[in-house]
Amino acid sequence: MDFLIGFTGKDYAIIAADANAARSIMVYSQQLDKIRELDSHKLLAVGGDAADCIQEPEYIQKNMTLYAMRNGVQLTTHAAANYIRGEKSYNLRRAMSQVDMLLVGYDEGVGPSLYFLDYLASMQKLDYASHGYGGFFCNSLLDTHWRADLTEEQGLELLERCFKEVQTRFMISMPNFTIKVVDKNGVRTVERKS
Amino acid sequence: MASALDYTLPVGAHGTGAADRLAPQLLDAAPMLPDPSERCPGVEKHVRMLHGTTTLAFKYQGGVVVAVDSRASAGAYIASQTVKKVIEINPFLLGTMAGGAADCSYWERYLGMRCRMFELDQKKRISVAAASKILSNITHSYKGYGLSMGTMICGWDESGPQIYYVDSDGDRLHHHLFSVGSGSTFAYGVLDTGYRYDLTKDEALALAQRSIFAATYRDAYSGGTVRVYHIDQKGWQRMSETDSMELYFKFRQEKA
Amino acid sequence: MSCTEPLRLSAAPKAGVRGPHERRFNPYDHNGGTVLAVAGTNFAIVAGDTRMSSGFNILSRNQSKLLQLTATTVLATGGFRGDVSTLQKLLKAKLVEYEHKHGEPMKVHAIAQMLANTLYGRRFFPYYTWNILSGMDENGVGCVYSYDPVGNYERVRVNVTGSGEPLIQPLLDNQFERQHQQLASKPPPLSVGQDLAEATAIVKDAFYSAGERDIYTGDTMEVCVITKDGVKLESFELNVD
Repeated sequence: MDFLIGFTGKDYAIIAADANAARSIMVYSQQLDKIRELDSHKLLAVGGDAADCIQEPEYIQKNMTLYAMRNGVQLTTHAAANYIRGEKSYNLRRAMSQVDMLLVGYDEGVGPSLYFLDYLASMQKLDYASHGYGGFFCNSLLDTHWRADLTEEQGLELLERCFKEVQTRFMISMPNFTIKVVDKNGVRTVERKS
Repeated sequence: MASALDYTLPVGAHGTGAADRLAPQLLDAAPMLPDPSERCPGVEKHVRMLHGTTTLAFKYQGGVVVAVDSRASAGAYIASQTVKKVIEINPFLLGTMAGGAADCSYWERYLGMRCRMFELDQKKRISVAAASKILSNITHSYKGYGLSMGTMICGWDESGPQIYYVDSDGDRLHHHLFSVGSGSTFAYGVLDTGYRYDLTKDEALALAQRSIFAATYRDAYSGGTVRVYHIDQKGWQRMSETDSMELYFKFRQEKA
Repeated sequence: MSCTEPLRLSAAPKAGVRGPHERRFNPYDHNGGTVLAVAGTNFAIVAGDTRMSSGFNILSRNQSKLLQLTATTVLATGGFRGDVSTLQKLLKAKLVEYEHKHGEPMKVHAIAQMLANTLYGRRFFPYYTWNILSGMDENGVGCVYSYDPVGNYERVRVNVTGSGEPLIQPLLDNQFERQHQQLASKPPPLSVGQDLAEATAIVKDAFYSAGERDIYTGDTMEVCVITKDGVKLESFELNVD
């Protein structure tokens, strides 16, 4: 039931996720952060099986940190996406891991990028993407309004339109969303204007 | 007398294993893997389950309140009315039980041992975050084996009062208020309505007791004694153990 | 999706030949019977019948379900006889090893925890057994520990398990726990209020009644009385039909 959405813009990439922690018919928390900060310039949004959504990204993050410590250099977003895809492929066959992901990052000389990874370990570099039922309501909005040169302000406005649509048309209540942005200065959380 | 050796039909004729869903032409090529949870079918009927359970815990300005019922059921039969569903891991950590009674009590006892090992090793008390992470790593590694537990690890550490929800799927959540078990929806109803962070200690204890009572009243699988614990910087304390009938008469009188 | 040739292992049977078969058997039986224990202020009573059945056949009329573990502890076990025997053998071995290692017999609370760990050790292929452990605690008070098959346990005043449980437990709740007797005095914290003679009389009544109404309970009842001086065993006839 998780909803992840993200896109690249002019010199930045942005991702958002709903903040619900739910099991069967009950919401345990509406303040869950589903967007993990992998390193200074990478964000990973996760959705799917709740337990796998903790264990798998945590394993990935720790190993990327270890790689950076050993080699004195961080993975590029492209390399990270391929590394994560490999781990997901292994985890899928080992333990039927079910985690959908969106990876965004900012690399010197490359700019912002977004990678779509699903639980079956497919990977696709995209300009904009979503996971979950929310996509049924938002993909058309992104198709219509997304442009490569969206400023951050315009990007946030587009996200808010997506949230509004989900809150209007989707049966499941999603009162809160987490928004995170990555640009040349690194990752940061964006507080929503209420 | 039925033969002890009971030859069953070919794969696909029984059970709900993954093999059933494979296309027939792929069946002869599919590798056969044993499903560990199906090694002794039917045994879960006899294991003392706490699927009928209500437990809750919440943080407030004075610390953490933990409250539970005490009923264990095996189907419709009440197997026990005196279960201790709060597990005293150490003087600063409490765990609650829901799901398989033995799973909860065994692994939380093991957790107590791991926490003590941490203390001896690091010469300081373990954080609630770390303790609950040990447990969730265990449950995650046993995922799919049929363990059943829904537990709240509650305590007071260097960063203050903490509650983590850990379950047998390997899930682990940090929040200020949880309720777990078949009666949890009823407990949430009363708890969410009456909850404020700035409750006094007496108000908080009364709210916890009232919430569990409400669940024992509505949920046939919850009942027995309502136990309430309190945690502050000095560790946990048992606050009350009250028979649910006694509470019923008390609340009825208050209403009249 | 568009794969036309199904993947074939070289050893896989050819078309027309029967596919893979799974051989299965049920590793468990239920041999019936009832066991019961009561903790008194300075004694404990453990009782069990001696009938062993399988389905509608009576296999034995004198198979004891009680096992004396130490000078003042007795384990009563119902369920599947095969697992009961294996468990009893394992526990006896562990107790001997403990006594050699520590130079004293294991105390009852330690046996209780060890039994729980032993049962949980088979969490994914359980011993199909229902256990009640009884003995004298360190203060000379009788104690009873009740278990489920995978080792959840609890110290109780009184417990019954096995095929006669639904018939006997309400009687025990009423007579020993004094539940719903608003005017009666409540029992002490860890034991029942009755003395040995009163408690024994209730236990015998419980078994006679269960023997009348439960097809798996009958033949003989064995009653162990545990005091600080040791264990005394007595037998009483139940109905044999």
